[in-house]
Amino acid sequence: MVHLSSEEKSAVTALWGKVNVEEVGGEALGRLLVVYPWTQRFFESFGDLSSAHAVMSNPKVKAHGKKVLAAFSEGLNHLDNLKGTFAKLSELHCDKLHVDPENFRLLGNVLVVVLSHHFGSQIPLRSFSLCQKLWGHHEAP
Amino acid sequence: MVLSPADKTSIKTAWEKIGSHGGEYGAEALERVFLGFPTTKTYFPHFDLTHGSEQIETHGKKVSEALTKAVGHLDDQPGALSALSGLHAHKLRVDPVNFKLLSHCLLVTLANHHPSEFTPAGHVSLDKSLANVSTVLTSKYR
Repeated sequence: MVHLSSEEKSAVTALWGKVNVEEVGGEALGRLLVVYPWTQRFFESFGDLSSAHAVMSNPKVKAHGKKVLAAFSEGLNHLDNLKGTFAKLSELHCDKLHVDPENFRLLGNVLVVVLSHHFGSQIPLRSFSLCQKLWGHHEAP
Repeated sequence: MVLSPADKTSIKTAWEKIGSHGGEYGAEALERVFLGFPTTKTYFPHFDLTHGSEQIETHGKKVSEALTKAVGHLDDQPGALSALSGLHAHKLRVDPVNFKLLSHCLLVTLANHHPSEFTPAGHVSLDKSLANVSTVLTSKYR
């Protein structure tokens, strides 16, 4: 469960409203596969992942990135019940896809980097902890 | 992580573009690490951690200068960073997990200020390079 103040919720809604879910999703997933190439192990059926250019322009990567970010979007609408919202997806990733949870941390951090890349100057520094809390890896204080 | 010739070129080019902003970015990365990962503050009980603090600025400059040294000695980082490595192992003893956190914040900072240079290929080269520096700085821990 992620607790956000009403000010934080407004800040997140304002930022997420600017996000092109399709584009950012594809970029985040693409960068995950480029920067941490061992994550490609889950995407052997995706075709050409042989270079950064191949990954970033791969249509299956873009499509899957869009799916992933749409799921993140859905999560933002249910911050009081993330467990319930993601129960089926969680089971799928654990029982069927066998994805090490470390990969979610890596993807979350790549998403924070991509958001900074696209919107850096529009995300105040003081909101960084909020970004990590929502999307990236964070440590409980 | 082995740096390819392309990685080395990419890193050197990125560092040249950073130029005189190194200290500023070092300070920003530190601020981000304290904000995003509050456990890191435990290593700085003696610091004023408010935004714009002189101590953060000075320390950010120190971090940046060390990275500049690392970039200037990509083929001999253990040698060039030997003293810093000893310092972190025997005196500072910062838990190794924190190097990943600071590296992440450095990447976020660079993505923010140099979007056109921060291509996917540049991103991976920088990430590898920071991972290598982290490995060197924790190499004498045990």
